[in-house]
Amino acid sequence: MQQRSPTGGGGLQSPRSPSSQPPFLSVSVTDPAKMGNGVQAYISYKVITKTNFPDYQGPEKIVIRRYTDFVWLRDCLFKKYKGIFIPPLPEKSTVEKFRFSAEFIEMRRQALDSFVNRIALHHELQHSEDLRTFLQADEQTMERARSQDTGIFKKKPSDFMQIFWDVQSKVSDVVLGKEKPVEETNPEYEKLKRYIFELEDHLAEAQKHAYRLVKRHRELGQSLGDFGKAIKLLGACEGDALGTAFSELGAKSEMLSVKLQREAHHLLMNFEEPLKDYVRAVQSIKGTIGERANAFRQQCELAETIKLKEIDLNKLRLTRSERMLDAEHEYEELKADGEEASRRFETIVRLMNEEIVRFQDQKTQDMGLAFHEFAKGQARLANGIADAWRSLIPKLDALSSS
Amino acid sequence: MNGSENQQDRIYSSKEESEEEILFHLDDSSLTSKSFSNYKSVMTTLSDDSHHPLATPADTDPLLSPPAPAPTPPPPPPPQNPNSNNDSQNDPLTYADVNFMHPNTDGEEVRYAENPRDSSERLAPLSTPAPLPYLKITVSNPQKEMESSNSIVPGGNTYVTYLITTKTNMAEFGGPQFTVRRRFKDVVTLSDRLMEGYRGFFIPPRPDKSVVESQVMQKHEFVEQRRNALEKYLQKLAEHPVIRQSDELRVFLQVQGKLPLLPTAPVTSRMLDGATKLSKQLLGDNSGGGSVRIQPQDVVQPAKSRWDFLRIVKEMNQSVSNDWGGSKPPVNEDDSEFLQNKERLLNLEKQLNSTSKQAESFVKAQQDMAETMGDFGLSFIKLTKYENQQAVLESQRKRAADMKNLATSAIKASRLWRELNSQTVKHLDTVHDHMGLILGVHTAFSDRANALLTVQTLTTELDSLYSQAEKLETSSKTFGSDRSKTLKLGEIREVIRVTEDAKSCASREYERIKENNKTEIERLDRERKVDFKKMLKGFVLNQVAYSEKVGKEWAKVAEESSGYAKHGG
Repeated sequence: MQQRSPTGGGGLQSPRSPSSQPPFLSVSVTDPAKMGNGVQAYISYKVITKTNFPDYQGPEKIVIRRYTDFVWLRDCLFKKYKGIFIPPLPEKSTVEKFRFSAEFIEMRRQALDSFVNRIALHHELQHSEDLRTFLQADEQTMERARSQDTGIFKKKPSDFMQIFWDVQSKVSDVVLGKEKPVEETNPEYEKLKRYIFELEDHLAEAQKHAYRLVKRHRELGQSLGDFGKAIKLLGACEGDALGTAFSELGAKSEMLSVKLQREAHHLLMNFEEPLKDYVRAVQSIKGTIGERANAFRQQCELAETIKLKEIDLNKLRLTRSERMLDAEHEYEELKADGEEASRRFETIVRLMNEEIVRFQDQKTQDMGLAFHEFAKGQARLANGIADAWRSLIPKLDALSSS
Repeated sequence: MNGSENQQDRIYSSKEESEEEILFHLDDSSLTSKSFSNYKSVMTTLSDDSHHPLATPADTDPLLSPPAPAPTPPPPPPPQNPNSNNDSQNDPLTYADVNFMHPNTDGEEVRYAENPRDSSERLAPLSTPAPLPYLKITVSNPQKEMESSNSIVPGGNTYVTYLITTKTNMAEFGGPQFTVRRRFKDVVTLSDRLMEGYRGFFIPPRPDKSVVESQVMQKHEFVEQRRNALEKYLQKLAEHPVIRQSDELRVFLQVQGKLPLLPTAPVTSRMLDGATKLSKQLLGDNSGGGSVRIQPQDVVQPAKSRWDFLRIVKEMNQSVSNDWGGSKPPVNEDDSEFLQNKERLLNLEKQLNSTSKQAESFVKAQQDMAETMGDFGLSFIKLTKYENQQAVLESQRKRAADMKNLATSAIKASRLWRELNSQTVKHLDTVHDHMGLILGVHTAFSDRANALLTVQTLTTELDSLYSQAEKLETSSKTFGSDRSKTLKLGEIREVIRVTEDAKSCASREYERIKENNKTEIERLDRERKVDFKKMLKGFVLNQVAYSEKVGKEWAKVAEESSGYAKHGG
């Protein structure tokens, strides 16, 4: 499996590449800008595409997109690429939207950038027409596509989430054995399903603690800063060498307070967010599991229907009914549908098997990097604290002997 | 210097005294010995009613040896051998000696036990190494007791007594360890007597009286809170270099049975008593059959605590004319110094308060960080275990291993932060302690203001009396006979004499209190500076040591995971 970084582009082998240069598709989501006022306010992003793909307007194209455009893309891919783990999107926020803090905007931008890049780097998804529309179409076309009647997806994104969750609950019902009718009896797959569901719980808890840890850094920074201020004022009372020592201690405290805030931010962006992304990815897989269950059920239902039709047909053959021809027609159609359903199901199974390997690799990389950043940040913080305090020691030594 | 060489090792110890500080104590002790010996003479003779204490200057008091030889080094080693003191057998410890034995190491059993090497190390340059004086008081074992009923109400009142245990090596206590049972009322008595007897000193405030129902009084939580507060209070008294030597404290800690200190009389009865007495005195009425003369030294006590209504009124009038609030005293050389000090100390109190608050929230935040880091680590341990259990692919196992590294380091870091914090708490406690000590400043300063008020009141009285006398003398009009005029003049002159006596007592008292204030301010400042220097150093060294350890831990993990690092651009 090739090394992938979430933000950069890389060389990829594509069977449809006509040019001499290896084909590449590199995307970035930048420059968030607040648009509109009050309840209607939203954030728009610049999406920059650099590519030598034949169907694309190259070498560079810039479009403006908003969150709902990303949702549209995700929905299209979900519908058309069943079996593939579609990269996750950051949650639609109903509350934070009104606050739009700089931090929130940055976290969202990072997540959206990840999203598009993962699609662009996926060997199948990168060829999606919908992706091309997303990356290239002008704003009007995009808006039309977004509001187009696309079957179940004519509903608003919030409704889609409801459907998504319905699927999920159906899947849970199946996993928990609430619904009996059509279930794969593949033990490996059972294990995988259980793994995904339990993993989500473990990850969610870890992410909760990670977020709390970020908050603790902030709180410690705040209180250390306040402490430094108070110590400085106390030093002013004491005067002379002791007073100076106090005031320097206070200054160091304030400096460390800033370091702590910075580290909190670093922790948030480089560890907590990737961890949250991991949770979302697992939730997305649950959607795929739901699709597989649907496909399997369809296959089974059709198989059932075909059997019944066959029995019917034989009956009609025996009685040499004039409905026999029609029945045979229907039977043939049904058989074709059945084969189609089987094919779809098998595709999903095959894709999922590939995807799970890819996913685990990806996550080991992503998490490995996140752990590295975590450790680096903590080491940097601890060493910064040690250095700051250490610099006071000579002065304090001089103080004792005065 | 010897003192600092071991700093590296003892990152956990917060208070160390270097030799320099001992010598520093010795230097200024000579300034204070005289005032203390004056005070001591007043104390010993005031309790003895046959004396007229302030009539004889302290210098000639037979109980005291002249203060000059006492404070010069090499110091006398009084506590080592209870039976062999230096020159004069009855010589009470002077302030000099008290100062020499560093107040902060007394009464703290743990440090004393931990650093026996230090005490001998510190005394090395001096000729005779002596153990530092040590007085530790603990309060325990609350018990319900019944008041012996001599009232009509059957059953009587119940109250709680506490077991007061004292451990000491000070000679005057006559033993290393002893116990006594006291109730809260006894503590109030002790506190009142100390307030009266040690005016001008920074005496720690006693725990509050609580006016609650007797039901609540007996509840376990309330009793426990009170026990804790009593212990803290008594220990603070034990740490005060002058008060720990006091008879009142000794009597409180040692004498079995009923506390032999007179409680302060209820104000009302004394007020009536004194009101009649003084009015007779000052209005020149000597008839009231065997009139009990108020001793001039009674003027020394502040009016509101003890006696006369009239005096209270007079002093209130005086204070109004004094522009109360600032209470502009008569011009003295060290006046502005005192005012500056007062302002400084009040400001200091404010800053100590605020620092104490911030220190508490800082320590809490450090604790929270440690705990959350621990929880974080544990949640990743769980994840690791899970991935390992369920692993189908190699990538999963690798991830589980990476995660385990992170988690174990997080748990280690959590432990280190926790340890750091418990040390930080000990260091920053210095701020809380000094905040408590500085509260004693208020009573000391109001003692001074009251004494000054008394002096000024008497001065005004005298002025008016003198002008009365003068008027009488120079009046040519004869109302009645010459004889009655002479009689009247005689009476006035008598009153003047008494008032002059009272004024000179009051002045002496005022001077004494001023001196005590000065000594205490210097002591407070000195001790605070020493303690704060130690606190800063201890705090900083701790932070450095632990942060270095934490940093190393994470650097290891970062190194091991460096393969994942983003490649440039």
